[in-house]
Amino acid sequence: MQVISGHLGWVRSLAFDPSNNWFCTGSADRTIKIWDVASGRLRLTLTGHIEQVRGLAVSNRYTYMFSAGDDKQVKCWDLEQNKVIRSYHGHLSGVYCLALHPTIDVLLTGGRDSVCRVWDIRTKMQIFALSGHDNTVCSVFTRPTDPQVVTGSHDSTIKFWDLRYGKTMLTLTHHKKSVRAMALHPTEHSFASASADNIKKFNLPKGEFLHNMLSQQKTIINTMAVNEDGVMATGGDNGSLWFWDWRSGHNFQQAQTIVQPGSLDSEAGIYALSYDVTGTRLITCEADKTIKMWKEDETATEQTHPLNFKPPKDIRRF
Amino acid sequence: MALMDLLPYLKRAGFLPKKVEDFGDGGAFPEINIPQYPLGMGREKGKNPSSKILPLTVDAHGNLAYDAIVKQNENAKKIVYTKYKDLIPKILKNEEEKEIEETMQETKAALNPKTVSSDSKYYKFNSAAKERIIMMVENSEDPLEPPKFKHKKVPKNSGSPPVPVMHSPPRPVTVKDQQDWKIPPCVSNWKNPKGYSIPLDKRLAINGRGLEVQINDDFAKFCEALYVAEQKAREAVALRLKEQKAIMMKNKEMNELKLRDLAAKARSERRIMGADVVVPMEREKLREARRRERSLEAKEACMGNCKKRKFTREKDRDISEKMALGMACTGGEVMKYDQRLFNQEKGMDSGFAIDDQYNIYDKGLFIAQPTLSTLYRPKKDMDSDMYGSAEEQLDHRLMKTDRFKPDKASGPRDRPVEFEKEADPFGLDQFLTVVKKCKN
Repeated sequence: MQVISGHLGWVRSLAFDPSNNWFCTGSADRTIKIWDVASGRLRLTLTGHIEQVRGLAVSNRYTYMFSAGDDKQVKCWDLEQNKVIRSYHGHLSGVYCLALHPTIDVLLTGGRDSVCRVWDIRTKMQIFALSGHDNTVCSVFTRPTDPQVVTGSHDSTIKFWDLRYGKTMLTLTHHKKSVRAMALHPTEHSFASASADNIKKFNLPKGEFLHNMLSQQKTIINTMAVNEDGVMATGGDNGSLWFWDWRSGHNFQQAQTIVQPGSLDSEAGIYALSYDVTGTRLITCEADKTIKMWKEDETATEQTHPLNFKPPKDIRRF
Repeated sequence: MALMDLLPYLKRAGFLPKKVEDFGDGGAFPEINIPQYPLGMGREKGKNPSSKILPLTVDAHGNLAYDAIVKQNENAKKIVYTKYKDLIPKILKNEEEKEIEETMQETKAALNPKTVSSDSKYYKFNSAAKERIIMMVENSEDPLEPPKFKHKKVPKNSGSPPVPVMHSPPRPVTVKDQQDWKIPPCVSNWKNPKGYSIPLDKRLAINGRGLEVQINDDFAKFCEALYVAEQKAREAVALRLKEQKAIMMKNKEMNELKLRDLAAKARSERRIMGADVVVPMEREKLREARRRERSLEAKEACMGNCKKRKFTREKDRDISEKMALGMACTGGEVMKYDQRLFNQEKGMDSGFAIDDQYNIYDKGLFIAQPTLSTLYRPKKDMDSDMYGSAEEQLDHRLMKTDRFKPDKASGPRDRPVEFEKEADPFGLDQFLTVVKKCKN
């Protein structure tokens, strides 16, 4: 595990470069920092936001990076000039999540005004305001096929959106608490959504409920990520980092982050995590102002880490 | 086949249509209750095992499907590759990719309607004079122009109908949950506007930092080491002092011995010289007294401060209020008491006197004159006719009598009291001169 400290505030968002050379983190100290993946060295600091940076995305087709923050601003950075070249104006309150469409030049942001907005990247125009949620939209992801936009909200619902007409396709009301994190499986047609009560898995084109994860983390889950091996990681507000098997939903490992010296115990909290492009390294952004890199333990065997998995006799639906 | 050949309606009793020709061009007869297969539709093909002829199958374009013969019976449920198309090498194209592409195009078209309908259209226009072709182009808009129409807030639409809630109802809050959620009130160490008294342990608990202080063991060890070192240093210092004292004593003794030797030598020399010196008794006495004093001093130094000698005790005693001899005794009996002991229930309890009260001289100096204050004074007008009024009595019988005068012959003073110097009351001067003479 490697610990990178450089931010002066909570580190709240994270995005990887498609080339896997660098990653960027947004922090409550109003800066975006770009780090080298291999060495963990700081490459660049971008200032421009006037509040904490809550959402980041790097385009894989252009040299653009997009950031969104609590200051209601959504910015487009050109990484060749390291400048803000566009700013998407329209959110009425803080912006909490951000996603880039994989095929169309469209940017999606969701915020505290309970609206997910669809922006045309080039013209800065708002194409749609996907309104329908009753509370803050705190998680969003996009897919190339329908449903192209999926949003999770503090009103504990998940909505599928038809991007052609800006209409709701489906509303999932399975969660009891706010859906703060969602993770799309890289190959399978399914996604998982996390709320404080449970983590649930859904099938994709139709949104059928598949199953719950087999244990409960018992904390607010801020973020989650899946890699191609089917290892899902969820980061909790109390610093717990749990690893799950995607297929069975078994929680096979529970880790707890160690706060960096000088910070309080209550500052253990994971705000964002992501696998790198290859899916071998996990990076967490934490409340103790550090970024931590986690690697798979190559020496781990069945003997050192016994797997006590008891398949449930009946799958609970609720 | 003509329609004429068929039996008309209501005249078909006993007619059983079985062949294709029996139906003509039409369909089944609803009033005849037997299974009917017009145009052979619905008749099972395997029902006629005797016939080995496969019906022709054509595809949508009218091409004959020659592979129907290998796709019958068992193979009908399997995949059988028969066509040339199946031999052509193909680049595997994911169905999903196609779907992605399609979705992308559709969405793009939906999001950007102008790109589709923006091509200009041409119209042929015939007027009386000549034929014209007109191109219709949409009027270009200035994107920076302010809006032409006032922006009106549209009321929110009713939205989509609610969807069924798919989760169980929330569990009722248990007592433990409630207790877990109880947040203690904030207590500041700096602000307390209502002035509540907050116990120290509460303050500490709220602060949270002072509670779990882990003191390193090394501190204890360090303290111990310091203590031991100090003890050792003290012992060493004491030992050194003792040694030094011993050395000094030795030196003194040596000196004394030397002096004594010298004295003895001098004495012997003097004796040799023949002058018989008689030591006077007084000097002997003085010497004795001094020696005693020295020995006493040494003893005192030995004893330290625990026992004080009498004269030191007296030296420490507070004798600030000395009686001035020969002065006027103003207080008499009363002044023998310490005034501070009186009026103790007044003082702080009754409050100090007011600051601007100026009552130092509010009473006469000789109020406690025993003659006036303690004498019996007759009451007013009790027996005035016999002895006169009270004032008269006081004036004539008490004040002007000789019996209550102070017993002093000198009479009233006309100047302050003077002290006269007495000439050598104890014979000290004389003694000193004698001593000086002896020394010389």
